[in-house]
Amino acid sequence: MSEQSVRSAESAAASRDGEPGSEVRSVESGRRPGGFTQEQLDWVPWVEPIRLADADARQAPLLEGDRGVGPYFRVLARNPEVLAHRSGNDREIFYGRAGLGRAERELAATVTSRHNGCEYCASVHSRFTTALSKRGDDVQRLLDEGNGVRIDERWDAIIDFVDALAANPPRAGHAHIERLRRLGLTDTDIHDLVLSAASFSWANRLMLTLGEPEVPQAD
Amino acid sequence: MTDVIDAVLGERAEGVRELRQQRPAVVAHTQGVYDALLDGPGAASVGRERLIAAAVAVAELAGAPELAAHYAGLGTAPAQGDPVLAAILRHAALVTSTPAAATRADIDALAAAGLSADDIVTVAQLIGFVHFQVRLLAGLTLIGAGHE
Repeated sequence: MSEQSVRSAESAAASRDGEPGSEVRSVESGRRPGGFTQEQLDWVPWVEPIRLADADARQAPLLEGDRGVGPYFRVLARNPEVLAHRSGNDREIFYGRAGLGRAERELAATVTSRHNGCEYCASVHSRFTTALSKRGDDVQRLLDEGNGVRIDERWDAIIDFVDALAANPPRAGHAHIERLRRLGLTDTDIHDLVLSAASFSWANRLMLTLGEPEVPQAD
Repeated sequence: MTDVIDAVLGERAEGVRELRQQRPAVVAHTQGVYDALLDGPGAASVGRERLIAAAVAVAELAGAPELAAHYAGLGTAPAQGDPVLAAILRHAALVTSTPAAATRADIDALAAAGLSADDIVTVAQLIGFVHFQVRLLAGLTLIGAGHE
């Protein structure tokens, strides 16, 4: 049995690899991202996404609009009850009214993704951070240098707290909280940072383990 | 209303109750994910006791003994020598400590142990959700401690 056929047999339950219409494949080495970037990346699944045409009554509402186009939400739709609550949670954490500004919620998502090494998540949420904060150069330095980067008092305090909370096990401590409070962040603001870091400690582990990023084909 | 986060926080829950209620949708959906993971159709397919065992292991590896004790209190342990559970636990440890090191072969190993594509997604969500809970509990504990 060739190595290729062994691999196909093993992945039979997870994919229709090699069958017509399968979206599962490995990314060629030349198309892997060369590092953290704010450029758009694609994501290639290792578990077969459902086809939009096959979505049942529980799955179809979770895949409306853009969510049904890429493979990620069609993979997660394999457990629609969990995905429905996960999406509702994320909507409130990142778009819910009041509380911490949206730019800093996205900054926390970027910092968590940088900590965990999720190039795909970091690319999406660094773009959001830049769009909302208009601080593209600072965001790029964070991606290039990592969470040890020094930017300004407020962002440094946020980066240090979120990086420590993202660590496994978490090593965030009272000194992080006191520093944020001294800079004027309320408990509501800090709670929003916690929720963003928690959400991406989860999301990074999905994106890093159910597939891999790919640099899109140049037009 | 008491949810799992409150239950694990115990006496610390009161100090952050008002704060949590500023985002009621998060409170509701966080409990919704927990219920769907352990009691939904996906749990029946993987085996509820295997998911609980995986949650205990992830919480322990993430330095959250109180959360691990919560999961351990939910049910009976799966049989020793269950090869499906062994594959899930191996995967959970990898995804917990070095998620960026996971490869396609790790997903293939779960499939080879007998998990369907649907099951693999349920297991991935379970592992990820426990990490969400660990950070939320750690953050709420730190915020609440400042107001004692």
